[in-house]
Amino acid sequence: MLLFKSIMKRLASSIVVLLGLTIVIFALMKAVPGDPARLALGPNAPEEVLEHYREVNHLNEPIPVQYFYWLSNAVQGDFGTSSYTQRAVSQDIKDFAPATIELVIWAGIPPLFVALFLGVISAQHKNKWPDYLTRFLGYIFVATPTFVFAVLFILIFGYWLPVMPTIGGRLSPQFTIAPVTGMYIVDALIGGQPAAAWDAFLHLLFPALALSLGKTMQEARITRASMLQNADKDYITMVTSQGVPKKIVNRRFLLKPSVIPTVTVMGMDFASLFGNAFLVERIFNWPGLSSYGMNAILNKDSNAVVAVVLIIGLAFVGTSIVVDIVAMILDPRMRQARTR
Amino acid sequence: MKKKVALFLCLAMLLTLLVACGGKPSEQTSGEIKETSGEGDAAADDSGSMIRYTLTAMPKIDPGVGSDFGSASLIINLYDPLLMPTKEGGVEPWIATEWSVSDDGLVWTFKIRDDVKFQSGNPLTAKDVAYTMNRMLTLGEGFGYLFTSTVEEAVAVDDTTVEFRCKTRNGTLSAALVRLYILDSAVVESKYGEGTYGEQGDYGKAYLLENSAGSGPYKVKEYVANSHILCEQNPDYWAGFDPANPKEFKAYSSNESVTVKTMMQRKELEIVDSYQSAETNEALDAMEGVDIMNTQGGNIIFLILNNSKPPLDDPHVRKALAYMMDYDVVCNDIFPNSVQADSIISNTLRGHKKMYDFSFDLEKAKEEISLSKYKDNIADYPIEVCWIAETPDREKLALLIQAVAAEVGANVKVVKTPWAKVVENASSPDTTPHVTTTVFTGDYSEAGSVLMSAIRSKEVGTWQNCSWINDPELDAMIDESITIIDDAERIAKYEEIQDYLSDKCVLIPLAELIEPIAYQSSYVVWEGGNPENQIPVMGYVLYMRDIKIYPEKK
Repeated sequence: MLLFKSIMKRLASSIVVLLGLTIVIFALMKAVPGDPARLALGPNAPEEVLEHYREVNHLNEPIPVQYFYWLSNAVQGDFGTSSYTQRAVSQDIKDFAPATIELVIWAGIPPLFVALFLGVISAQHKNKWPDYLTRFLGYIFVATPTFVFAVLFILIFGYWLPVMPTIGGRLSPQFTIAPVTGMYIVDALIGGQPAAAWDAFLHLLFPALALSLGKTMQEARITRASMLQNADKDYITMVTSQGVPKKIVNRRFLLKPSVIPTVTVMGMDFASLFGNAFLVERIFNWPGLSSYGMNAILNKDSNAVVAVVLIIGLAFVGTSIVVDIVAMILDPRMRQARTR
Repeated sequence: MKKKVALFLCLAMLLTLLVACGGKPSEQTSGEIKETSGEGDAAADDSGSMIRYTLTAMPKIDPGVGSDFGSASLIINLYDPLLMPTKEGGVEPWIATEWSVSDDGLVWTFKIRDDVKFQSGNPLTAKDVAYTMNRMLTLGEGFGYLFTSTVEEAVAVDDTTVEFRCKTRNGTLSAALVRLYILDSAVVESKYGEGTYGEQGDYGKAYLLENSAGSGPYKVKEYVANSHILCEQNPDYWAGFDPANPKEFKAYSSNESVTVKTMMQRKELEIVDSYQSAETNEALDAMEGVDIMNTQGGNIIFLILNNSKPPLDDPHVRKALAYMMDYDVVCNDIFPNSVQADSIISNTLRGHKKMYDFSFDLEKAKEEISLSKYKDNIADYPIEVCWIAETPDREKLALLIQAVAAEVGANVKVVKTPWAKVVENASSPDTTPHVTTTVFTGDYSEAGSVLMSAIRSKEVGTWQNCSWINDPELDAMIDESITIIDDAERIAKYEEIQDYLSDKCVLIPLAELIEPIAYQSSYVVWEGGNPENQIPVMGYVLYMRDIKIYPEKK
């Protein structure tokens, strides 16, 4: 019940944050140079056609009125028409979001376990070669931008060692998957097509790796630091002095509290992947939400941009709530703090 | 010890995974694994007879909407035009077999073939032609501007006769009709969605965004927004195919250079877009089996001059600017293999006449400035040279002007401007910069297309037409030229207009661009890309019936 109340409070405050976010982005998009009617209809469209477009899309109204129109439709799930794709923005989101969600899930969740594993190994072997190696790789991977990994993977595994599947898209052309969730691996498994699922996984592997490497190593470093910090705590000294085997101390008493900071950072990292994926999507020709958002910005497609930012904002809110829940489960003190 | 074993196992798993991904790409895409959806869709064979090419953005395949290069390259393959452009710059019968014009020049009558069927199986009739024209007139988007100012309406007289009733005499109509791509009216009408066109709803725009409804040699098989469009041969195409024409083609909407290079190396891409940097093209050219085709699509790189802004309101300053350009550097270093342009009309278009004989001559530039009203204070009028941020090669051009201008005492300011801002700035003489570096060509293969879209005051305020010339005499000459029905007379009028403009130097054509396009020459024969065979109308360089592919040579 306490947990439920806490979540409700978070949701209520999130709505205000999201509303504010849409106002800021909407206003910013209006300040971006370029006539949206001209960009949508082409350089030679006659003035009367441009005027018709502006009229239909309320572009002649003051910005607050335009925002009101947008908001009143958005709450009904209608985000307007994209001037870039000329389709309903809600349809675009439905088409592009699953690709990004699939990418982000694979770039966010499995690497968490790798990060925890490496962090624990590094802490347990402090100042020995596994620790040095993890830290050394950590420095490199954290400092390297995501798009560099993407380019390197294409060059190494696509160009020099052609181990990558067909570049461009999410699936080799010989496969067709009946859409259910829009996430190809899941859909292929639902449809009983293991070969297609494997092919989709191979397409996903390198983009997901490129997106996750830096964050994985950052999370590993946080886990290591947290483990080492907790290892000096009195309660650890006490259980160790009572003769509890080191393995049990590590697993039962040290790992659990040490994971909390990692989970918190991971949550934010996970949500930020939605916004950061655009370069990886572009390089791997991955038809996702981030590259759609990027193209929308370049084409001054305010309907699409605001909708994409809203979706990413929702991802942030959702993730932070999940992270809070996980943290409260892991640490009862946080449950108490939240309800005070 | 156990941990070391665990670590070793992890590494072994990772290596196994990489090896599992391996194998030659051609083996993976050989189509040995055939999976179909639950609905039993037929599977495609990617390694077979397919041309894959890159574009810079997702094309708009609705023939009433799309008008950029990428869109045109798709539309010409999905639809039949009423008349087909020829490599000589004229038109030849295609869906229309013959045509005539009334004595007053206001009614054009076209006889339509009676043996053409749409991809749906419906016969193509005059009703479809009239429907397509009326739809273009209503939408006014894309290539619609070619007709909106002159055509009043289209009427189907009978199944094989259609009339275009014009508001004014229109001599260029037949040339512009290469952009009338005929829609299957029955299919489009059945797909009307909600929209703002009255009874027509959305006029089928939502449907035609992702589907084709034409009689062209190819039809849309798969549309993945923001990614690619896959098209397959229309087996019943009335004009037939060469057996080596591609069975399918795929247009990608992204052209990242690393991705493009890798795909070319792996033979997963046959033709690269023309927007790659010189360095990328060099790397592609060095690949085995890849060559560069130097295409000439009639594009000219211009310095668009704002004729209303001091000091460019003085023709002598404009001419001085023309003498300040080092054409050798432009044609050899910035845009390699290009040739100096001698007219605002490309030499690939009908009606081209030599207008200029400018050369890099600083003495003449100084002389022109000394003849101008700004001879004493030219430095007080900074000349803003804008280059479009998305086209890095053009920065070199702007810097070249700036470097030379200092030597003649002119003050040049280089400004990097995003494309969206360039379009917005062009809408007013006050916001249009002094000089904008721009590339364009005609939408059909006649001088009238450029004169209308880039020079005439009626169209002023677009990125192509922002010279703000405001010369009623010139406008009258252009208006008159496009009303002349007789081809020879009309061409003579175009030449007269170029003579008239030659002394005014309203804009500076720098170079006829040769656009290098990398392609897989080891198994693709690209007749349409060869400058000797190239049709000088945007998009036709990728007409798939002019491309042959031999997959066995891969």
